[in-house]
Amino acid sequence: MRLNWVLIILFSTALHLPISQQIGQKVQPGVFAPDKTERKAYLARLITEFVSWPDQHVENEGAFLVSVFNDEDFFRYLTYLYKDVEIKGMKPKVALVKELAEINDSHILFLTKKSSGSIDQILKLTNNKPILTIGDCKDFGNKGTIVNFIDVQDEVKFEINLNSYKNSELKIDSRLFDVAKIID
Amino acid sequence: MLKNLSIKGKLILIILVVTISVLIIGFVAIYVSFSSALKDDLNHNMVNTAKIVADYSITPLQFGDKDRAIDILEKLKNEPQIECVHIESYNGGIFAFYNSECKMPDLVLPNNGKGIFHEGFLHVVQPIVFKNKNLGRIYLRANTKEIDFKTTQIIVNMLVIGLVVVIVAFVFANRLQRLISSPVENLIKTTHQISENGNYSIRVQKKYDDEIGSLYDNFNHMLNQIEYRQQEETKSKKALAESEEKFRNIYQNSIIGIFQADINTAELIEANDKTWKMLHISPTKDSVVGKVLSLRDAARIRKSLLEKGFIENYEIFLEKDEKKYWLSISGKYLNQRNVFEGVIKDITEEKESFLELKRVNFELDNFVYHTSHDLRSPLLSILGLISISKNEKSLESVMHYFDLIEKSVKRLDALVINLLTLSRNSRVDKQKQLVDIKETIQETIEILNLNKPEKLEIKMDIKQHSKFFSDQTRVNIILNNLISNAYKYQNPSQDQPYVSIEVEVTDEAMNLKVEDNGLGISPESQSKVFEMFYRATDQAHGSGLGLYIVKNVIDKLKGSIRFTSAIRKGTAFHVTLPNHVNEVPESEES
Repeated sequence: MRLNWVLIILFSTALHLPISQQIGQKVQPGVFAPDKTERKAYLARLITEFVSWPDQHVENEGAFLVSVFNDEDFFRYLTYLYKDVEIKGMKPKVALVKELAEINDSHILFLTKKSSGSIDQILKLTNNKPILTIGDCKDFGNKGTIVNFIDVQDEVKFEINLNSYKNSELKIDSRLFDVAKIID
Repeated sequence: MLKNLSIKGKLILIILVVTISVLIIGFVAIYVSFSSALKDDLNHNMVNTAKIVADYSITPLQFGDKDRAIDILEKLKNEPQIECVHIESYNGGIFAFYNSECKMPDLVLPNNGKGIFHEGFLHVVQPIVFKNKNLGRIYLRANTKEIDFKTTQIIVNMLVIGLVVVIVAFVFANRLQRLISSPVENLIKTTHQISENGNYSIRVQKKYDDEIGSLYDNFNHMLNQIEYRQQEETKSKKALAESEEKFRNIYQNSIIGIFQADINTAELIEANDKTWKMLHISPTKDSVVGKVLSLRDAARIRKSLLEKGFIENYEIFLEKDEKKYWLSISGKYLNQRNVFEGVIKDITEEKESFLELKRVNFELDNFVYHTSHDLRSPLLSILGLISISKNEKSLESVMHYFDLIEKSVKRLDALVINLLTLSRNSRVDKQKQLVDIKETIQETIEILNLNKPEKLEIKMDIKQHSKFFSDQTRVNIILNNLISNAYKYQNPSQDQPYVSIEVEVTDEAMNLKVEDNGLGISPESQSKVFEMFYRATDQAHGSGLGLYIVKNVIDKLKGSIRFTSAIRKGTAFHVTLPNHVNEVPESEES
């Protein structure tokens, strides 16, 4: 019930209000993020609702792991955002990873501009694995992140790399494709 | 109105009513079913469409992608019946719409994806749910124009089909009704012929073995029965008519009178001709028999009927136009109808015969007495004279006694002759002989002249216009007796005694008048002169049978005799005898 309320609040205000205002709380110092980042974090969580992971992968890990590669601001924000949220019946664990070796156990891997230097290596590691890679950089989509946020006319949209998706073991709800830009 | 329709009309009407009723019920069922199916289809399609739109609206709503939402809604262009669609977000705001912004109707719409028809539109509300989260709802409004068009089309089609079916049904009904109406009309036609002509030999021709065929059989059987009964009735009527005619003939021609009379009023209710004739009353003038009877007879008859219930051979005496009638009445009293039903018989002849018999018996007694006396009287006289003569010695005296004996013998002979004449008159019947009346009178006079007084003048006047046919012997007896009486009973004091004999013969009769101016007959004797052995005067020497014989002979010849007489002035006898000249063939007349 509580989750429902959170989702309702999120849903109803997602389009117009900063997340801090949506939840009716004052964002703590250091957790603040610019509007677009906040929006992307919110969208990232919505996107996960349209994605299915293999059950075995989830069971093996024992927890639903949301990793943020090398971006503490985004990590903090996601930590706050996923605080009261359940994914696949589990309470997600948000982790800040800095080493490539740590990304293998992730279910969702956020890659911001700060990952630009090692994006190819990261994507090699996640290829053919049930890891939803979500990029936040203009070229990440073409490079192989499954989902990548883009700015379209000053709005936050996202694109899906179809090949990367096909190479993963994930299943994405087809309705998500309706609102995404598809990269073949 | 319908009851008076012909059977043909009724059959056609029934078939048409059934056909139209079935068509209406069928068409209504089809219409309702079709209309319901169309609505269900529309509802189903629109609900599915709303569900699809709702499903596709999840991500645009989640991600706030209005353009994408509009793209989805634009695909509804292929559904022309959709008036408008809008996607409401959870807070009730219109997120996107199709065609125009919809205005929701003022009614509670089920929020379960089921449509509702209202004011010519189908309203569908479909919630947008994703992972048990209510994201908003779709409102879809579709018009029912297509349904209306299709239902109108099917109504038109049904009307056309119905009209065709009714026309076909009428044509078939008009033809097929003959299967029933034709035999019935045939039956009606036959009954009409029978009733018009009264000909029960007509029969209906059976064609089918159905109920009407059975009706035909029964009708023909009934006709057989009627015809048989009619024939029997005709026979009975004929027999009855014959019987009635026979009875009526017997009734009317009966020698006895048959009648019914009211016991109280004595009025004849019904009577045959003989009754009226016997009672000498007329049914048109006076039918009350009581007026004919004497009060005594009427009372006795009524009393007998009321007390005994019948009356037998009650004799009544009537006198009409100086004639006497005797009638005998028998009958019984019909208590229930208060009617006396009886027969009446004319017994006048019997009664007269009876009286005649009584008279004859009396005459016979008288005859025997007188005859024996008259026969014995001369015989005793002769015996006395013979006895005296035996002792008489004088021849002169004996001769005188012989003369007296001769007189007695002649008197006896005359008596015997008269008796023979009487006997012959009753036995002999020969009335059609040619009689020469003149010669007969002359012969009679010649015979009688032996005893004719000297001064007696005989006058004769004979007018013969025709030949006279009668009984010669009887005519002789009449002339002999009448002329001899005229001789015998002369008045001694009469200076010029005469006997006048006048005769006139015509084709019809012979009229004889024998007149004298003799002693005449006293008034007290005039009624008795024709009786047997009656002697009007002691001076007479006759037997008292002369005029009796004359009267009997004239009666036998169906003639008549009358006389006029006055003491000491004379007597005139008038005799009329029928002339049978016209009854004799001309060949015999000569």
